[in-house]
Amino acid sequence: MVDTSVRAELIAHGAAQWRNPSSAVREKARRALRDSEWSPVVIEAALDDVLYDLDDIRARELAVERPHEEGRPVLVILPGNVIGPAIASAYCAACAGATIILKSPGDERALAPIIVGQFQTLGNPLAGTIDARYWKGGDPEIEPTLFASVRKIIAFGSDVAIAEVTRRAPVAVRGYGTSYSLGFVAAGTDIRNAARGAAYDIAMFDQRGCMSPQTVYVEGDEGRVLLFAHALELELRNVQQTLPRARMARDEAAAVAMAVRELSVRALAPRTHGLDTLMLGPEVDGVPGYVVAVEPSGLPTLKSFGRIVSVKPCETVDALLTIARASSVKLESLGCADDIAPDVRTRFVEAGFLRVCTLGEMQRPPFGYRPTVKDFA
Amino acid sequence: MFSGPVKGPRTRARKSDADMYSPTHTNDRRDAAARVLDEQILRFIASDRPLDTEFDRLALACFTYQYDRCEPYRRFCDRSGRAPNNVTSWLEVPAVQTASFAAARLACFPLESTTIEFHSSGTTSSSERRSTLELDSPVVYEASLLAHFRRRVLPDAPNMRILALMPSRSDAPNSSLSYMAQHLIDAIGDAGSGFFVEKGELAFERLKGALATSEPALVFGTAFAFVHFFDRCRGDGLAFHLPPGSRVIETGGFKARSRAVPRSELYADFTELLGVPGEMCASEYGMCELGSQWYDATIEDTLASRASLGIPHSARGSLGIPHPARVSLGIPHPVKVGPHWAKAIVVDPVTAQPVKPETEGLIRIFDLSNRGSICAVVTGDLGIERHGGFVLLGRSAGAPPKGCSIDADELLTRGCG
Repeated sequence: MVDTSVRAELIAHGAAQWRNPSSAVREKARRALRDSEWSPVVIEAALDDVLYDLDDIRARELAVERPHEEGRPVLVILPGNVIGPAIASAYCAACAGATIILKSPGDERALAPIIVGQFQTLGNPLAGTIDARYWKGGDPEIEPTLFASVRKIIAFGSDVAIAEVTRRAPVAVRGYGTSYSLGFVAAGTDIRNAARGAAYDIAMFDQRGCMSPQTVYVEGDEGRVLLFAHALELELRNVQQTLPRARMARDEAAAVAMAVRELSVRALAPRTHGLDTLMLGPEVDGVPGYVVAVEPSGLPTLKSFGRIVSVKPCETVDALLTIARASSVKLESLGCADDIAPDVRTRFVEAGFLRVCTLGEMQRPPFGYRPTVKDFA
Repeated sequence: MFSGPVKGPRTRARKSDADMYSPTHTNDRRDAAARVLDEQILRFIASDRPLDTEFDRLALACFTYQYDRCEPYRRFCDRSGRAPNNVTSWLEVPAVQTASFAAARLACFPLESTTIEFHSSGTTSSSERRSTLELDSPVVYEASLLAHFRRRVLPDAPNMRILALMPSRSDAPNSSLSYMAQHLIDAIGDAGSGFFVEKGELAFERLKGALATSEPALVFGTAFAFVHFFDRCRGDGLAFHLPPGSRVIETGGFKARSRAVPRSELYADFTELLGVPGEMCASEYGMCELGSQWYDATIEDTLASRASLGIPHSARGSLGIPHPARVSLGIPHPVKVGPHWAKAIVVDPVTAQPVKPETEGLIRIFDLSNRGSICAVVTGDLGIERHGGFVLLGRSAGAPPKGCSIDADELLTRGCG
C-alpha cells in the first residue's frame, strides 16, 4: 500500500507551490492565463486563495488511508466563471486517492494541463492520477463513452447545465449549481471595514461566482444604510484600481446598462441632504465599472455580473432570517461584517446559508468546501 | 359579457365598438385628467389619417402626466436629466426597462384605482413580484387591441370563430393574453369561439370537434400550446383541413423553455396539421407591460395583394397563387408592424439611443395605450428596424426569459385532457 503520509506530504508540497508566487507552477499558470478574460491581479489573488489553508497538518488530516481501489476515474466538469475549482478538485481527489478527469470549460483550457504537469513532477503516488480533457459539452462522439467509463461525475455550472448532464449520465452526478451569496452588516460593526471586505468579495471574478455578495443587508436606520452604501462605493472605486474588472463583452455591457436602467427606477429616492442612492463607478467598456444601489428592504437583488450590488436595510437579524427563508433561490454564503455569535450562525445555517464567514473572506472558502474530499471517495 | 369556455350561437345584436368604449364602461376608476387624455388617445386610435405631430403632442402630454404622477418614473427621469420642460419629442422621453415593471409599481394612479392587473409569465431569479401592468380602466387597452387586431389579422371579415389555445380569463385572471382573447371573442368572435386550455390541460377532444367544422376559424394560441397539440395530433394520426379564410396567430415563442421548435417547423405544421397556408399564419408580439401588440404583416399583405389582383375571397388558402414581392413573406423573420398609436425604434443596448439603419439593437417602444403606466419602454428583445416595423431577432443575452408561452408550457406539460 502506498504510504498515506507520502501522499499527504506531496499534497502539502504541491499546495505550497500554488501559494508561492515565485514557484514554477504559478509562473506557468500566470503565463497561460495571461490572455484570459481576468486581469493578472485577479488571477494572482485567486491562485493565492485557492489552497491557502492546505498545509502539512491539514493534508495529513484529509488524506484518507484507504484510497479508492476501483480503477475508474471521477469526471470533473469545471465551470467557466472562476478558476479555483480546477486546482481544488485536483487536490481533493489527491486527498481521496482518486484518479480524475478534468474537463476544462470552453474558454479556459490551460489550467488543467498545468495541474497534470505539476502532479507528474511531484511524482508517485500523485503522478498519473489526473487526465486533462476538453470537448464541447454534449458531444455525442465523446460523452456517452466517457460518461460510461467513469464511476462518478462532479459538475460545476448552472442548474440547467447540471440537470442536462444528470439526464445524460449513467452514473451518479454531484452538482454544484446556481446559488447566491449575501452580505450582512450587523448593528455596531465598523462600516468602513465591512465595506472594504465586501468590495473585495464583489470584485473577485466580478460576482460571477456563487460566493460573491449580490445584496448586502445593513442593520440599522436608513442613515446607516446610506453610510455603508457610500463607504462601499468608495472601496469599490479603490478596488477598481487594484483588481480591475474583467474585459466585458458587448452582451455583458448591455446587461449592465439594462440593470442600471432598472435600478434607476427601483433605487430609493435620493436624500435631500445630498446622499445619492444610486452610485455608478467610472466607466469601463462603456458602462459603469460598478453599481451600488440602495433599495427598499425585501428579497435580495441578484444580478451576478458587473459588480452590481444592492444595499438594503434590514431591521434585525430576525428580519434577515425571514428574508433568507422566503428566498426562492439557493443560498450559498453569508458574509458578515464581524464574527457573529455561534447561536446566530446556527440560525443562519438553518435558514438556508451553507456557509457563514466574514466579509472579505467570502471568496476564500476553506480547502475541501467545494468540492469536498468526500465527493471523490 | 361572455365568461364560459365556448361561445354559443349569437342571439342578440353585437355592441358597436363605440358602445364598448363609452365612458360608462364598467371597471372604470379614472380621474378627470385621465379621462380627458384617454378621450384624445381614443380619437387618435380611431383616426384614419393619424398625423405624426398629433402623436408627438399626445406623447408629450402622456409624459407630463406620467412624470407628475408616477414617483419611481420621475426619479428615473430626474436621474437621466429629463423632465417635461426639456423634452420636445417622443424620442427624447426617458424609456424604462421592461424589467422595471417588476422592480417597482409603475402606475399613475393610487392602488385602490387599479381595476385590472396583468402579470408577466416570465420570472427572474430575484424579483419579489412579477412584471406587472395595472389599469385604472380597460377602455383604451381594449380599443387598442381590437382596432389593431382587426387591421392586421381580420381586415377582410367583421367576425370569425376564434379558437383560443390558452387558458381562459377565469383560469388565468392576470394574463394579458387571455384578457385579449376574451375581449376579441366578445367583440368579434362568432358562435363556437372559446378557450381550449382548461385547468392546465389542452381540451383536445373539444378542440378536435371545433376544428372539424365547415366555418373558417381563427386559431390563436401560444407557440407551446400549438406544439403540444401537434404532438398529440401526430400521436393520434390526426390532421385537419380548416376551410379557406381560416388563419393562425401564434405568440410567445420558445423563450428558454424545455423544448424549442424552429419557426419553420411550427409553420409547416400549421399547414400540414391544420390546413392553413403559411401566408395566413402570423406571429403576434406583445407583452404584459404594453397595451399594444405587433403582428407579422403576412396576413394583411396577403389579403391586400389578392384583392389587388382580383382573386376572389374563396381562393384564399391556395399556396400556388401569384404573389407580389412582400417584405413579410418568404423570409425567416417577417416584419412586425404595430399600430399608429405605438411607435417602435431600435436602440443601442448600452446607450439606449437610436442605432443606424440595419443595425441590431433593443426594441424601444412608445405606446400611447400605456397612458396609466409608462409609455416609453425599452424591451429586452433584439431587433432591426425595417419597412416601418421591425424584425424580431430574439431575446437579449442580458434579459431574463419572459413571455406568455412559458405559462402555457408549464401548464400543458401536466398532460392533455
